[in-house]
Amino acid sequence: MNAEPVLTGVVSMRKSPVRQFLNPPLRAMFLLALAMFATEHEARAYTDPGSGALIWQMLVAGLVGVSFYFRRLTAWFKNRKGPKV
Amino acid sequence: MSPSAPPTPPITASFRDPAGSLFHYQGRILRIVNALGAADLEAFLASPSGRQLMASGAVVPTRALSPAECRELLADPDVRQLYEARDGQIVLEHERVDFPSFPYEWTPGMLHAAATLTLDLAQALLADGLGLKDGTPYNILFRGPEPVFIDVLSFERREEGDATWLPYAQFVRTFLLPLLANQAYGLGLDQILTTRRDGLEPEEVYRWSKLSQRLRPPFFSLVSMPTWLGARHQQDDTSIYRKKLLSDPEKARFILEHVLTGLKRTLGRLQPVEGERSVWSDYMATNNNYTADHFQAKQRFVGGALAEFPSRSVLDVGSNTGHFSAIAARHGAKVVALDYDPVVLGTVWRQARAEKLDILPLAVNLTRPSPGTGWRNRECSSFLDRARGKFDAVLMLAVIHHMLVTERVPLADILDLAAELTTNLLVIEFIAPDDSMFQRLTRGREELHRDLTPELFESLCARHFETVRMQYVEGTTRRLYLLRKRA
Repeated sequence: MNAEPVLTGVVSMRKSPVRQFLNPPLRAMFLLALAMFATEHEARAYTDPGSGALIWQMLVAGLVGVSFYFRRLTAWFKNRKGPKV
Repeated sequence: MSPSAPPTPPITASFRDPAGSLFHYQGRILRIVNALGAADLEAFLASPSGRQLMASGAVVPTRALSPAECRELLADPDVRQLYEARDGQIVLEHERVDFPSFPYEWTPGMLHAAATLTLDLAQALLADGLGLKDGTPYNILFRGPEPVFIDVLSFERREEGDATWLPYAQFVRTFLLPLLANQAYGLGLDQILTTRRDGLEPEEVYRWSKLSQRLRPPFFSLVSMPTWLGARHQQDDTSIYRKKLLSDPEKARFILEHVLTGLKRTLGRLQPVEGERSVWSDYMATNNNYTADHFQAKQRFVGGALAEFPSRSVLDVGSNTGHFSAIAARHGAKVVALDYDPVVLGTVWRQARAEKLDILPLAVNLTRPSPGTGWRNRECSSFLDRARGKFDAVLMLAVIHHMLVTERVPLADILDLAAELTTNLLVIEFIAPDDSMFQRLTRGREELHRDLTPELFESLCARHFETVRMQYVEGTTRRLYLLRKRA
């Protein structure tokens, strides 16, 4: 049977691990993960299910929020430099 | 009944959603909506995306009953009692889905399709300022091979500055982590979801994961980070659950869109692979016991039976790759295809979807069918409660030796169950104990099945069915019977 074409598309779009590491927000995330990994905590009874996923979503949202302003800034520069008719 | 036994409510209705209750009434699917849900519901029904999603079939077609229809319905005191107990304001009627099924009966590909539908809806609704309150596979049923979103009370109006997708954690627990556990550890969805209504916790999967997996996607974002962050979070600190509104709605939407596309990307990694192999996946190609001629004769027998006795609904027990399910579907039947191997069923599902055949594949073992689950075993009814008397025809081809030998179910009981499932036809293949496949299963315990003769088989069938015709398939060890249920 043929391989799923959609899947190969996704795979080929992925950046190499080295280029991913050069991406500053990802590098920050990786260092944060390493720190967490090194000082792992044991979860106890009455943990709050979903809290970890929610905090993770908030962390990602924070980073995406920064990239939102970054995009606005680059868009502004592009408009300024753009050819005048 | 003892005098202290509490009275049972006259109508069983769903109870988890504070905004309303779903109930069955005289073959109709009705939903009472109260003041909590009315405004969100009306916003959804009036929105362009809502109308488009219902027209395309992604959301189950739904309409509000007119005041006259409501009066007529509420004339029944049982319905009135329920309506008043739930502070009803609106009554909705949903289009019926022929055969309800639950996530623990689906193939991984079907759970994946249900997850895709959930994210598609969340993205489509965003344009109209709407969103989803929850993200669980129980919002979805299958019509043939296609998922359809059924819980219209899941839609809500979003606050513009809200950048958090609140169902995120639930979506991860109930869709992504079961798919991940299936992909990484080969756990079946039945094993994961039959006893876990709310899916898998990241902490559970973390314990199973290897050190080398924890820093790699998708484990890193779905399992490791939530586990580490959750363990550090002060359990009494509930501030994270307080709604945070951003002053810039454009930014909030940008973040939300990013969260949803991120989940879609992760879902892409969890797509079940096609062409996977299992014990049963090559059965039709190499392992079956028929020559090409005999197989064609069998096809003609089944096709002929369905042409002579048109059947609207067919249950194919032990469907394998769905060859006979497809024949039934091409004869215009709505088919439920059962097999306990989710890998071969994955093939059935993909074929049905590609060829638009009305086949619902379910990973159910008829000798150990799905039980009633949830509160009082009544939230999701058992497979047999949904299946009894729901089929005009039942196919049991090359399957009874598995039930007899592997599962040790007595032949009389198998035929009793077949008579409960079908309202009319039973197409059944008799396999004698000297058949080579039968002997492969008995593994030297032949004496257990010495009494099994065609005469005994026919006499047991005769208790419920009359024989329309019989045909030998392969030599004399296999026979096909077309039976009709006695009135």
